[in-house]
Amino acid sequence: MNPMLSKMLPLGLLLLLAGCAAPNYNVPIEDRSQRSSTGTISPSTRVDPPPPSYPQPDSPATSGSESDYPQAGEPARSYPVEPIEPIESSAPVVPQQAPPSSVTYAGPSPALLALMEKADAMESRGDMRGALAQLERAQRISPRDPMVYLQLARLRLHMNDRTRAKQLAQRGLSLAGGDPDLTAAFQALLAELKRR
Amino acid sequence: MAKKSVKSKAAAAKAGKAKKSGQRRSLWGLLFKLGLALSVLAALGLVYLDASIRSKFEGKRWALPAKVYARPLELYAGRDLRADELAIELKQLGYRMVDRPRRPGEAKVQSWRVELVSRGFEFADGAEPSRPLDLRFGDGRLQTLSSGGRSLAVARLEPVLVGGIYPADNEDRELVKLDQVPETLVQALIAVEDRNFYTHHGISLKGIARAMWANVRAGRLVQGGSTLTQQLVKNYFLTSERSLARKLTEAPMAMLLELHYSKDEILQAYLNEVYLGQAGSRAIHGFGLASNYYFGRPLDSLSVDQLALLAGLVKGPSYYDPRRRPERATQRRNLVLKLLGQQGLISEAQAEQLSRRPLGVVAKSSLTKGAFPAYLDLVKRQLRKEYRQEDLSSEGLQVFTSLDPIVQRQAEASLKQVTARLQKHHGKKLKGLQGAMVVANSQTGEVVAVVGDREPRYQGFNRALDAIRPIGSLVKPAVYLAALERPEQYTLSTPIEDQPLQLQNPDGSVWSPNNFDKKAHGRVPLHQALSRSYNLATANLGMDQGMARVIDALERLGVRRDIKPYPATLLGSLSLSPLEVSQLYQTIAANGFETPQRAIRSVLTAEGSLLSSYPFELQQQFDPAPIHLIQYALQETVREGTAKSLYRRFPDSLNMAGKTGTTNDQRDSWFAGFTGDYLAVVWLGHDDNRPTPLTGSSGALQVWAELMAKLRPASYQAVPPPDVQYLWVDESLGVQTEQGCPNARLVPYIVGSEPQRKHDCGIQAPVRRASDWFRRLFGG
Repeated sequence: MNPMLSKMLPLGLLLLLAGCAAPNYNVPIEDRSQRSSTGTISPSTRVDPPPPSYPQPDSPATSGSESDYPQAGEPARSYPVEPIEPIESSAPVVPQQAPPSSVTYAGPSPALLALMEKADAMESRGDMRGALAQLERAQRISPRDPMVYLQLARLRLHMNDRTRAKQLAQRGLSLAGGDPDLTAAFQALLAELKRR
Repeated sequence: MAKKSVKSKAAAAKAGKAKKSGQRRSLWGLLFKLGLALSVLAALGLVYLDASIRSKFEGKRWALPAKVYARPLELYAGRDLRADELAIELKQLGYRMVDRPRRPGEAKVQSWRVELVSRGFEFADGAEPSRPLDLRFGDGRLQTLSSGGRSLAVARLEPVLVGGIYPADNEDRELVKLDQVPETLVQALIAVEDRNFYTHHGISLKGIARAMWANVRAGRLVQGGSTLTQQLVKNYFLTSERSLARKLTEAPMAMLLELHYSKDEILQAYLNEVYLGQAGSRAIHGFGLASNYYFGRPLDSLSVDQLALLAGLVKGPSYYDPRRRPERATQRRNLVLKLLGQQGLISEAQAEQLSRRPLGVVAKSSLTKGAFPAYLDLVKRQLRKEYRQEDLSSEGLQVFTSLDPIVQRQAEASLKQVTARLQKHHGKKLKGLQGAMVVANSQTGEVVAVVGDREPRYQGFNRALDAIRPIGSLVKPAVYLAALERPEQYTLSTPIEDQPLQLQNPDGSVWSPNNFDKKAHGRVPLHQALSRSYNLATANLGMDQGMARVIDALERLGVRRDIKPYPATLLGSLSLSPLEVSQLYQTIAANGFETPQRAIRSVLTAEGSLLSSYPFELQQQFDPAPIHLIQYALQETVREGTAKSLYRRFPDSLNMAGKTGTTNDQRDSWFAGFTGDYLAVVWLGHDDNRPTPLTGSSGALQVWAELMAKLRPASYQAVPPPDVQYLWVDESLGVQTEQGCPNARLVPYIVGSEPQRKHDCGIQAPVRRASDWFRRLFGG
C-alpha cells in the first residue's frame, strides 16, 4: 500500500473511533526536525497517489517533477498571464500543460498531516484549545481539505460542543464530494451526534 | 541750644530713625510677607511641578499600546511562495542579510534558495523555536524545507508587527525595555550626552562647567550642559512652547524626577521619549521607532556603528539628518565612535574601522507602523466591541490578526495601478476616482487585506468599511438562489422572460427597469439571465417569487441591514459596504455556510496569556445543491458572461467565479469574485456620487484581475453534492441530449428536476468546442 495512504488510515480510523478509544499517538511535537522516523513521511519516500476515488476540490493535480509528493490542498498555481495591456504585472509567466484528466484525493499534505498529528497529541493530553489552534492552522493551509473538517468536528464533539461539531461535519461533507470513505466517516459522525 | 539743637537733632534723628525704622520695619514686613507669599507660591509651584512631571512620567510609563501583528508566514513544502516574496517578509521582520546566517534574525536570499535562522516566537498556541531553516524554491513554490539537514513538515516565522493602538493623541512609540536595549547604546549616550548620569541628582554642575569650558574653547556652542534627566523633561514638553518659564522649571523638574525614580526608570523613559527625527508630520520619538525609521530593523539587531549614529542624533536630529545631511551625520557618528574608543568601551582600532563604514541608513523609511490603516481600522472596530479604549491603548495587549502583508501590498498596488491606467484613459471624467477592496480567504472567512483609499497610507475615510453604496447587480445571485431552492419550479435551464415590465412601488409610482444594452432578449435560460446580468429577466424572476423570498435569501447570505421590500431591491438599490458584500459572497464561496468574516485570531495579555480567541465559526444557511448551481452560473459569468474579458488574462484551466455590478448612471463599479483560495470585492466610484464612464466589467473587474494575476490563485473546484447530477441538454428544446449534439451543454441539476425528455441527434464522435469550459468542472 502506498505509504501516504497507510499513514492516513490509522489517523482516519482514529477519527472514526473517537470517544471509544484513547488516541495512542504520542509523537514529539515541538520540533518537527527531530522526528523523521517517528511518523511524518519525508517527501522522498512518497510514491504515486492512490487511485482516483473522488474529485478533490482543491487540487487540479500536480504535474511533472512535483508528482512524487502530491499536495492535496496546494495545487500547482502557475499559468500563463496575458495582460490586456502591457502593464507592470509582477506575475510570472509559466506555461502549463493541458489540464489534468482526473483529480485524486491524495490525502493530506505532509504539513497538514504534521499539524493534524500535533493536534491529536494535544487532544489526547487534554489540551483542547491547543489542538483547536493546530487544526485551525491546518485549515488555513488547506481550507478545502475534508480531513481537516473531520478532525475539527471530532474535536468539537470531544469538547461537547455539538452545535459546532454538526456544522463542521456538514461543511466537511459538502467538500467530500461523494468520496465513499469520507462520506461514511462524516455520516457516522452526524449519526453519533444525533444519538447523543 | 546746641544741646537742644543736638537734642532736637537727636530727637529729629530719633523721630527720623523711628520713622525710618518704622518704614524699614514695614519694608521688612512687606519683604517678609512677599517672601512668604513667594515661598508659598514656590512651594505650590514645586508641588505643581512635581505633580505635573510625575503624571507625565507615570502616564508615559504605563501607557503600553496594544501591539497588532500580521499572520505568521507558514512555511511548508508545496506552498505557493517565491523567494522574493519571502525576502519581503524577512525585510519587514528586520532580518540582516549576510553571507552565512548563523545568529537568529540573519538570512541569505537567492532566487532558488533562502537560508535563515528564525528568531522563534511565543504564539498563543505554543512556542515556535528559533532554528536554522533551509528553503529551496522552484516553479513558483517552496519545494523543500529543512532544518539542520532534516526535512521539516511545517515551520512558521515570527509575525510582522504592523501597528499599535494608541491613545487619542495618536502618538506612536515602539516601546523598548531597558533590558532589551543594547548596552552599547546606553554607553554611547552616557558618553556623549551625560557622563555623570549615574552620580548626579538631576542637574550636573560639572557637566555645565565642562560644557561652558568646551564652548569657550571652541568659541561657539558645541556642548549643552543638560543631563539626560533634563533632556527627558524637555522632551516631555517638547510640543508646548519653549518659553523662559519652561526653561526655568526644567532644572527643578529634573531634580524632582530624580527624587522619585531610579536611574534605570529614568533611563528607560528617556530611551522611549527622546526626539530623534521627523517623518513628514510624524515625530519620531524613542530609539525603538528610530531604529525602524532609519535602519528598517529592530533596535536589538543594530551594529555598533548604527547605534553610535542613533546616539549622536540626539543632539540635533534635523541638523544631523542622515538622509539629508549624510556628511554631518557621518562626522557626528565618528565622533561618538571616537569617544567610545577613548573610554575603552570599544578598541580604538575598532572605532577607526567602524568609522569607515557607510551609514547604512535605509533609503526610504520602511516603517510598517501605520502602514495598513484600513486593515487596522477593521481590527480596532472589532476590538472595541469587547475592550475599553483605555485598555487597548495602555495594557500592552498583543493582537494577532489574519492580515497577510504580501496580499495587502499586492491589493494596494493593483488598485493604484489600474485606477491610474483608467484615469489616463478616461481623462477628467475620472478625476478623483476612488476605490476600495476587501480580500478574504474564500473558505475560512479570514480577512487578509483591506484597502480603503487609492492612497493606501491615508488614514481618512475607510471606503472598504464605510462607503455604503448601492450594490447593483451584485444582488442578483440572491434572486436566483431563492428560485433555485425550489427545484420543482426552477432549474438552471428554466426559461425566463427577458421582457419589459412595469413595477409598482409602495408609494404607487410605476417603475420600468431596462437592460444595460436597452434591449429585451426574450426567453432566456435562467443561468444565462444571471451570467449576462439581464435586468428584465431578473425583475420578472424576482416578482414571480415575491420579495419576501428574495429578502430571506439575502439575510441568510449574511446581509444584516434592513432590506426594503421594493421591486428596485431586485436590481440592487440595496446599499452595502465592500466588507458587507464580501460577507455575502463568502457564503456562496463556502458552499452555503455563513462564515463570519474575521480579522482577529486571538488577543493575548502583555505577558502572553490568552484573553480571547476567535475560532472558526460557521452556520449552514443553504443546502449545498442550489449553492452549487449558483456557483455554476457565477463561473459562467466569468467564462461567457459580463466578466468574460477575464480570460483574456488567465488560462482556461483556472476556475474562477464572480459577478459584476454597475449602478444607475454608472455611479458605482463593482466586482465580487472568488478562486480556490481568495475572495475579493472591489468597488470603484466617486465620493460625491458623480457618474463614471465605468461598468463593473471595465472598472472594478480590471482591478480584481490585476490582483489575481499577482496572487497566482488556486483554481476553484466546485464539488458537486451527491444530489446534483450533470447532464448534457439542449436548452432550446428543453431536452436531454448527447455530448457533441448541436446546442449541447453540460448543466447541473438537482436530482429529479432534470428534463425528462431525451433527444438523440445521432452524432457519434463528440466534437469539442473551445467554449465548453464546463467540461473542466470534472477536469475533462
